[in-house]
Amino acid sequence: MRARASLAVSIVAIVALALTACAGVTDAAPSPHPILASELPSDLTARGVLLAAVLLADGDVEQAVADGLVTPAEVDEAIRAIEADELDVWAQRAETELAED
Amino acid sequence: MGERRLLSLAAGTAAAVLLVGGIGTAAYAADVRSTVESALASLGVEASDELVDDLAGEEMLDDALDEGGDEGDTEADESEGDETSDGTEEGEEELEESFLAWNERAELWRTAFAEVKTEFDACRAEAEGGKGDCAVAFSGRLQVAFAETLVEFLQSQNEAIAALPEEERAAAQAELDRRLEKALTKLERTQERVDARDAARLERALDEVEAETGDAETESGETADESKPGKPEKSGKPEKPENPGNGGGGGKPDHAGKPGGK
Repeated sequence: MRARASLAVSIVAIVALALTACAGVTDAAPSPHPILASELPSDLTARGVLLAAVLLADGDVEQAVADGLVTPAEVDEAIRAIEADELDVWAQRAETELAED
Repeated sequence: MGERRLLSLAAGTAAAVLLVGGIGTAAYAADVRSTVESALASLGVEASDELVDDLAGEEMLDDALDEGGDEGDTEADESEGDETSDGTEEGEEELEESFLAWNERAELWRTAFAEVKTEFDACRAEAEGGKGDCAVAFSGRLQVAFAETLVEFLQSQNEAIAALPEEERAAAQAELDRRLEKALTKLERTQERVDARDAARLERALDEVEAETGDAETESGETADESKPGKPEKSGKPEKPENPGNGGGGGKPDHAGKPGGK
């Protein structure tokens, strides 16, 4: 009888430990947005994406690409980011990079 | 109580109409900085002053920004400048109102964007490897769509004006009309600019095709020269309307244009 009680206590303790461990995992700091964390290819900058977005909304992208002001990759990413509502994340990255300079 | 709330909402919306011009008619600003700032705001991005300054400081940006903002905008800018400086004194209340206005307009904007994006995706699917032309065309359509949403939004504000107290109505309506006229002008200019850009692009594309065809013809002409010394220019596909079915090949060399018959 006593052995059973002790076994039950042990199981409860193990389960509690396991739950705590799991909770620890889920409570871990959320990983940053991929846009903020990922290493960018050489033809893509946060600043360029924002410039491309500005030009898409109010400028001549073709000329900007021809002038080397933005790259085709930045134009593509700006379009994707507008659609995915992630332009503000690029702005966040640009802000961070600007502060680090 | 409900009526008062409705009135204050209407007043807020009408005030927002006045403010949204500052955001929505961004492209009216001749100044690069305000164009950058308002273009970002129009895309729902809140950028710090430092970031806007940094982006606007880009040397070649001025050339690539909306060239339609030069003429006739100075006057508009001046009048808007007054409003903006007055507006900033009002503080948070106006920010809230402009946000409200943006939220209303954002729906229109998102719908317009989705339509344009669908066309863009179709263009990309057809263009192998993703041609830059799709992005350029997309940009033009986006700018027109954006100008259209501003017009649409302003037109939708007539009801809000009607709900205002009578003494405020005339002034608000006049302001709304002014904004609407500007938005329509903006739309017209944007459409013209995009059309002109498209036409120029088409012309360039046609020139390229012609040049390529010319090269191909020259090449095949050279090949033909080797086998048929008497044909200097033609690519072996001369126009022969009288003998459309005569594809037997090499049938009438003497009529195919042998200059001088060497």
